[in-house]
Amino acid sequence: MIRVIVGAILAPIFIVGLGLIGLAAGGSRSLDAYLVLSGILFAIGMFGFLARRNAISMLMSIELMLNAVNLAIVAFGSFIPKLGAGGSVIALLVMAVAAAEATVGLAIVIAIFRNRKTPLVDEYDAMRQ
Amino acid sequence: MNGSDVIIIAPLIAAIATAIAILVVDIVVPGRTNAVIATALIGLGVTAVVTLTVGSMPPTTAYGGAYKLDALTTFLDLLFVAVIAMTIVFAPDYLAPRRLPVAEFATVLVFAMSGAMLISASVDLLLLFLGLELMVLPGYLLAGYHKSDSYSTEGAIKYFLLGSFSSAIFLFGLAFVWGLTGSTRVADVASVLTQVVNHTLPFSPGLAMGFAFLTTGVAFKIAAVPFHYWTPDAYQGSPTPVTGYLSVGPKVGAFALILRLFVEALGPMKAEWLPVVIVLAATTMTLGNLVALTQDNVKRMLAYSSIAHTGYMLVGLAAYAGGQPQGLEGLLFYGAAYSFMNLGAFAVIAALQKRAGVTSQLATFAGLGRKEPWLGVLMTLFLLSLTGIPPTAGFFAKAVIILAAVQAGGWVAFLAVLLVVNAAAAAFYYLRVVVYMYMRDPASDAPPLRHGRLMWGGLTAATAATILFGLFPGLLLGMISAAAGALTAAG
Amino acid sequence: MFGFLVPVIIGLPLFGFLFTALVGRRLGKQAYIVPVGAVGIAWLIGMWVVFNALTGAEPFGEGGFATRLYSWIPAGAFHVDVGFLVDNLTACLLIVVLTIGFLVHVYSIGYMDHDPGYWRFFAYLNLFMVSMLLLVLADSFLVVFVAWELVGLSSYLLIGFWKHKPSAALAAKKAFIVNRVGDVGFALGIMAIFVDTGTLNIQESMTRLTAEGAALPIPVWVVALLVFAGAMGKSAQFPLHVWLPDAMEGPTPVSALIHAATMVNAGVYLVARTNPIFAAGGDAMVVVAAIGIFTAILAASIAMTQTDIKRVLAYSTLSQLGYMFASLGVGAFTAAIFHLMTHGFFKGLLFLGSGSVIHAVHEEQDMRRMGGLASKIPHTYRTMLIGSIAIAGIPPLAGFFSKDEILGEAFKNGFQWVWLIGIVVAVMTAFYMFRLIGLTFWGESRVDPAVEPHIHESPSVMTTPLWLLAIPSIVLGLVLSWPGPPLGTGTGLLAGWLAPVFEHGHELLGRAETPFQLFGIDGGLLLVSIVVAVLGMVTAWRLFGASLGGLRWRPDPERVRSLTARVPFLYRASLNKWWFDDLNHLIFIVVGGRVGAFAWWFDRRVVDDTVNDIAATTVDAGKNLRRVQTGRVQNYALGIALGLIVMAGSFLVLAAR
Repeated sequence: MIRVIVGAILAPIFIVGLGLIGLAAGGSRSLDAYLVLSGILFAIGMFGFLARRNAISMLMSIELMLNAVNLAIVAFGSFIPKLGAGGSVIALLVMAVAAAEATVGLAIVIAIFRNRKTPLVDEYDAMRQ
Repeated sequence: MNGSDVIIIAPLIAAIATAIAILVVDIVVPGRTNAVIATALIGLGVTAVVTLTVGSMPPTTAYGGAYKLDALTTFLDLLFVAVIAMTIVFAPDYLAPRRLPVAEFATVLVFAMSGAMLISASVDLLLLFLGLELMVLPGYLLAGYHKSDSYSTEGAIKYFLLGSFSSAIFLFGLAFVWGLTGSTRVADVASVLTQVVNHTLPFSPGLAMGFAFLTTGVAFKIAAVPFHYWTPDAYQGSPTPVTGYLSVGPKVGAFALILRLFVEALGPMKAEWLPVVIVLAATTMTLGNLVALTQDNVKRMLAYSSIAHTGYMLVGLAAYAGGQPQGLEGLLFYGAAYSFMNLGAFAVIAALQKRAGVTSQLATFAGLGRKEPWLGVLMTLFLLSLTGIPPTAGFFAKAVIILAAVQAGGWVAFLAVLLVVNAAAAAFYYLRVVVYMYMRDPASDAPPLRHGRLMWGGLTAATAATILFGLFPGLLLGMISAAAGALTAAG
Repeated sequence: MFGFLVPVIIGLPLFGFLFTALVGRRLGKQAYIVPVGAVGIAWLIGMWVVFNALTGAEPFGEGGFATRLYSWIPAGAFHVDVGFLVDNLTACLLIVVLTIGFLVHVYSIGYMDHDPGYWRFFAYLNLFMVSMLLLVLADSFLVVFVAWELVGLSSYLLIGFWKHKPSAALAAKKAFIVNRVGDVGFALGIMAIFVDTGTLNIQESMTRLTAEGAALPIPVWVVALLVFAGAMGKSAQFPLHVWLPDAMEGPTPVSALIHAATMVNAGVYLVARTNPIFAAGGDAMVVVAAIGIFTAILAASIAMTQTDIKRVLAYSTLSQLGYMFASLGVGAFTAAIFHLMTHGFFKGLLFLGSGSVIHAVHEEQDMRRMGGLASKIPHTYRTMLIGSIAIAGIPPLAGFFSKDEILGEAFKNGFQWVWLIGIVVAVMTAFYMFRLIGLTFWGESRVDPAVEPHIHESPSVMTTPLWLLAIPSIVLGLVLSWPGPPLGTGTGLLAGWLAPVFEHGHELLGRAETPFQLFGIDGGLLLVSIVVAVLGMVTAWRLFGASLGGLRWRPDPERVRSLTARVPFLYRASLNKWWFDDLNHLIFIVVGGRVGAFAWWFDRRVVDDTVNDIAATTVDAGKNLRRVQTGRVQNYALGIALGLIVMAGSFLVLAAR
């Protein structure tokens, strides 16, 4: 429950915060729009990570967060001329890293699913305190 | 890219070639552990020699200034090679009885090393991130290396989920810092920040958010409180040699990242991030020690103690930010000393766990001093060094950090006092293991195990380092002050 | 030449330790040869060095001889050398450490004969010698701290030597932990010195700390008190004294060497070594004096009622250490070192003697099951009697001179209250020592009949060290004060030796030298000292018997028992017929018994429990904190997210600044 509440609080914080960022960045108005969108996406990803219990869903939430990052990068790249070339490269690298991470993650999820017969991560609490 | 660039990144190439060579050897002569280990050690030896050779060249950069070769790079690379070599040496005694292949283990470990080496040489935010991912992704796999063991996989999935969560946070911060400073090069970021500090440019909230996200991501990797949650579970669950590596390799690697990021890129703003580091250091060492007091599983206890050690190293960083460059020397020395003594302690646990089914509970250590006197003595030495009892390396490392922090004055001096109190409290739980080893009767009367020659060789190396760096820190200090000098000159 | 010899003094026991640790197990009963030999040779070399130092031969001169072994921390801001300094203070300590250390080594050959851990014991003893020698020889605070920790470590190993005894393991742990508390103080003190002076060399930092008009970020009295905190831990001063009585769980030679003659003196040495900061620290000295004299009377009152022979001696050690700190506190540095030296010898003798007694009655430590041993173990009896007379302060034995000097200096330096309490402690000291002698050696035998026929004197390898320690217990006081007061009008030998060391401290205190007046104030004080010592002794004789030459008083266990039984009925007892006759007895048994019981209770319940409570609270905090680790990934992620929010908030605030 508390996770849901915190998640719900997080989203507006990020929206407002990123709105500020957009204003402060001082670029064109549409860059702000992209950045705010990216912030919202990131917050949704975090919310998903906190709220979902299924390991695969959490993995997808992380992908969402990485995509939010990519959106911000591409937006920066296309609106600020001197960042243009770098932006595409960084975005491509982020995608590659995301793919690698997903591979490793799925491998681990399969391994623990074989041991525990459940994908719900809050049941993986044999080690604590 | 030209010829000289390739020469400069030769250590990295040697590391990757080593990893591939191990795989090839395993395909050609499958199942021959000795051949694999020999290949790995030879490869690492070559890597070390290449690092030293390249390191003797004057400081230079490659790939358009993204990759930097200086004294810090050389020092950290050698440290990583030593850590990986020792981990590989300690592993077979643990892996063999559990029927886990050594070759894949060694390969993945060497790949992780190449990531750490990339971090130590990167002066570009993007490369730093790539190095970080290259270092931690193999770490996730290693944590779950005992894939039929439910603890190992549980530790791995916790480590993985939280790790990639924090990577995403780090990346988000990176995107904003890049977007708002206009460059990923550390030096360019630093020059923009100098302007910010001089008020020629505004300190925009977006930049502040970017730094906050970066700091959070890094704090997670070094296991600073309150971003430490993954540590105890991942350490306890992992196969013991992996725990040894995880407690040392990624930690020193992440500190390398901190040095490149906070000292070089964010160096101009050290007055701004100093309060954050002070709070992190204080909570990290105190919480780590307090919780470690209550643990009765030695691996988990060492996990919490490793959190405390993170706090001590952060004090070195705080001392630097407080105006004492010696703080960095302390941090680097601590990293090196901690690597050897902590790996040594985990090696002893791994040696005890050669018999399958032996847990890392305190009871395992009962009567060890009588049953296996040498292991008992070595474990005592490593624990004393972790406590900071002279004349071990651990004492000296603490002394340098404390003295630097004291000289920095102000709140940093308060950190030094807190460090002393914490170190005194830490004696409780380290000593408890010693008491079990020498003053309790063995739980079982199983005959002592025979340990491989490799294990003894590795333990000898760890012991020698722990004692020698305590008695003659000069052996290491020359290299370290050059490394710290390279950093402060740049930052 | 001395640049080579001084490190060799430490190197020899170090070699002995390494050798024995590595191959000792295979040597069986021969394991003692190398360690004892190493310490023996170290003693010879050490005495040669000491002789040269005290006679002021080149290269020692007045200020001592410093030699540098190597640069531990080379160059840079924290330049620290591993170096040694041999001045007259160090030389005095070397005499005590090396001589008693060597004799204890010899004694242990016999005492530990039947122990399966023979080689281990000698290895530890050598390790202790290394650390203790390093402590007195080092010329840098950091190295002193290293040695400080090492003596703590070897003491830990030796207290817990009989690891099969749970009580020994607990005592060892307690000693280590309580010492850690003091060590924190000392470490902070070293840090403070470094902040103030930028150096860790003892001599240089002392000069800079006490220089005129020096701007010190940390006031010198704070530094002094921090250093004193370290000294309190090692020298077991109230309230950090709780570990010493428990430390008696270790083998008796260990008690003699570490917990009576050497390690516990480390605190006294440290304060004496840093005397200028105490002298410049003003009221810090009063704290030292107060804690010292309070420890002295507290421990003495407890010693009066103990029945375990080693515990009596342990509390007596506490009490005597209290004297030394009181002496330091009143500015009588020389007297403190004087008492340190004499006490080292006679207390070492008493402990080794008690070990011989325990050995004779088959590991019995309770004095209620001893008695009448004088004729059965004559060497032990005679030497212990000498030790007791010495500690009781009966002239002309060693303890009289040093104790009298402490009390006299306290009185003359304006600390009359210290003197007064010191006098009471002196009575108690004489009383409990002769109670010990009476219960152990005189009167009827109360030994277990099964053991009775097997009582035997210890082998000569054990009795010879006793006699060798008895000689300095008799003459050391005379020798060291010759030809100074109260024997003559010159400067005492020891005072002459130590004058350069304490010159600076005395200057800072602004003490004027007053001539010694045998027929004035000094003579009066002298007389009082003698009278109170005799008073305590005779009281003990009346109650616990005496058989000394022609003097034969029967012990009066009935009276002791009835007196102690009536403790709750103080008033009725006062109406009793011995109200007048036996006023002394009344005071000592009823009041003394109550005070002793209260002190015991206070010690166990209040002080001990407070120490334990602090530890328990810390552990509780840990237990609560570990609940945060719930084992669930989402909760961890939540923690990270909250941390991120706080982090973002703080960076935004910092940016807005």
